[in-house]
Amino acid sequence: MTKDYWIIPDGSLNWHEYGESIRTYAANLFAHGSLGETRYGESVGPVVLAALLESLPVIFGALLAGFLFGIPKGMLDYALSRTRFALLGSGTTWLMQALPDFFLLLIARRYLLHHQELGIQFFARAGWEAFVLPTVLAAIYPVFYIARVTSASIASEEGKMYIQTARAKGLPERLVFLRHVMSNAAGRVLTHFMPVGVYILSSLLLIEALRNVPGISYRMFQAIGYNKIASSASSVEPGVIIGTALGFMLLTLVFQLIGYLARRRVSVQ
Amino acid sequence: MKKNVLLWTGAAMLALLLLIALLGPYLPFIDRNLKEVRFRMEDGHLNKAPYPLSWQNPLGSSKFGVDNLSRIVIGARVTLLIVFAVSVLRYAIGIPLGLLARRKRGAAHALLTWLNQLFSSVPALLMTVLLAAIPFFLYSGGRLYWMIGIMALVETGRVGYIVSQQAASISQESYMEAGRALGLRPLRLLKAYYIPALLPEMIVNFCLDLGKVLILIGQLGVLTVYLNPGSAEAGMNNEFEFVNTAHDWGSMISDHVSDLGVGRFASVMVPVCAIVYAVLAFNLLGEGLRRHFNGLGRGK
Repeated sequence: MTKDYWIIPDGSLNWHEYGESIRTYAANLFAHGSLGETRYGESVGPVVLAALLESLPVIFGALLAGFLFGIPKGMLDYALSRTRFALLGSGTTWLMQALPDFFLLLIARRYLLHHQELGIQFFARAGWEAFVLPTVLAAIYPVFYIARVTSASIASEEGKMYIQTARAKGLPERLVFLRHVMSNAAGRVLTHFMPVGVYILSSLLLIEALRNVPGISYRMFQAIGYNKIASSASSVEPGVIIGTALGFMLLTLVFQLIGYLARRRVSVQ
Repeated sequence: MKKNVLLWTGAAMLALLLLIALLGPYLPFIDRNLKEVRFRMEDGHLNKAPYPLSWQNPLGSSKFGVDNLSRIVIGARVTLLIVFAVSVLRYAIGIPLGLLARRKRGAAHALLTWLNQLFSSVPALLMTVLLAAIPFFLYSGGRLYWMIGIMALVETGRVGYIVSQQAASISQESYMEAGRALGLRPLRLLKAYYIPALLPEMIVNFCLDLGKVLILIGQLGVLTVYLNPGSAEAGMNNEFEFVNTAHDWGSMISDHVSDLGVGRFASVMVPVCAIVYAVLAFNLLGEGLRRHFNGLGRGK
C-alpha cells in the first residue's frame, strides 16, 4: 500500500466528507460569527477588506475613466463617421474592443519592464503607479465600449423631431449637439454602467495576477488554490473565497443600483 | 449594395484558419510528433533549446525544443473544436431556455433567472476557475469535457437572457398577433415566426461568442489553468505536478507563461498572436454578418 504516505487524489465525490466539512464550517460561522482563517492563520475579515480596498480605487477609477474618455471618443467617432477618416474613428474603437485583454496586458508589461528609463514601476504596490497603472489597463476596454455605445446612441437621436425643431429655431449647431443630442444620449450611455462595471471586475483578475497584487480578484484566485502542483496540504481558503465573493456581489449590487438610477432618470426624461 | 469588406475579410481569415486546422498537420515542414529536441548539433556547435528563429524553427522553439510553428498548427484543430463545442453547447441550451422563458414565468424563466444570478455573482473568469478547481473536475479523467461544460454553462444564462428579451419583443410584433389569430400551433409559430426573426441576431452573436470563448481559453492559459486532464507526475515533497499533455493554444500559453519571468517573451506571444488572429477573424465575420443582415432587412 502506497497510501500510507502518499494519498493519490482521485477526485471521487465523497458526500460524507463534503457534508462534514460544510457542517464544521457553518458551525464555526454561526458560533463565532467569523468566516474562518486564511492559510496563514489570519482572520478572513480584515484580509478580504484589505483586498477589497486594494481594488476599489482601481475599479471606480476605471469606471470613471471609461466614461470620461469614452464619451468624447464616441463623439469623435460619430463626427468622423461621415468623413473618409471613419476607419480611424470607429475602426480603432472596434479593434481595441475585439483584442483580447491579455494581449495588451502582456505587451504593456513587457514594454514597461524593458524600458526602465521611463521610471514606471510595473509591480509597484505604493505610489502613483499602484493606482494609475492598473486603472489605465482596466479602463482600456470600457473606454472603447462606451465610445461605441455613445456613437450609436448619438446616431439614433439624429433626425428626431425635437432636434429639427431646435435647428429650425436657429439654435447654433454646437448648442443643438450639446444641449439636445448629448444630454439625451448621455442618459442612455449611463444605463450601460452595469455591464461596464461587471467587465472591469472580470478583467481585474489578469491585471492583478500579472502585477502580482493581491486585490479582490487575485486574492480570490489565490484562495481557490488552483495550482498545477497538487500538494497534499490543501491550500484552499474557503473563508476567503466566500468573503471575496460577497465583495463581488456587493460591488455588482452597487453597479446595479447606479444603473437603475440612471435608467430611471432616462425614463423620466 | 456596397461590398461587404468586413464579411469577406472575416470569412477569408476564418477559411485560412480552418484550412490550417484541417490540412496544416500534413504539411512537410510540420513536425507532427512535436518531438522534444533538447540539444542540437549545428555547424559543429552543440546548441541548447530554446532555439532562435531560423528556417528550421520559423517561430522559434520552446525550452524543451518543440517547434513553436508545429505546435500552433497541430493545436489549431483541437482549439477550434473546443471553441465550437463550448459555443454550440451554450446556444443549444440557451436558445430553447430563452424561448421558453419569453413570457417571464414558468419553470424555464425560474431556471434562467437562477442560472443568471448564480453565475453572475462572481465574474465569469473567476467562476470558471472556481468550478475548474473542484477536485471532482480537477482529477477527473474526462476533465476536458467537464471544462467544456463549465465554460458553456457559466455564460448560458446570458445567452438565454438575450434570447428571452428578443423573443419577448418579437411577441409584441403585429405579425405575431396575426399568427396567433390564425390559430397556429406553438410549434408552427416557433418554426415560421420566432426562429426566422431570431436567427440573424443569433448567428451574429454566435460568431462574436466564438471570439469570447477563445479569449476565455487564453485567459485560463495565462492563469495556467489547464483544460485537459494532463498526467500527474510525482514532483518534489510527495506532491503531484500536472504535466500538460494537450496542444491547444491555451495550454501552450500556460506552458510558456512561466518563461515570462526569465525574459522569454516571444514564445508566449506565439500562441497569444494566434489567438488574436482567430479572435479578429471571428469578430470581423460577426460584424460583417450583422451588416449583411441589416442590409437585407433594409432591402425588403
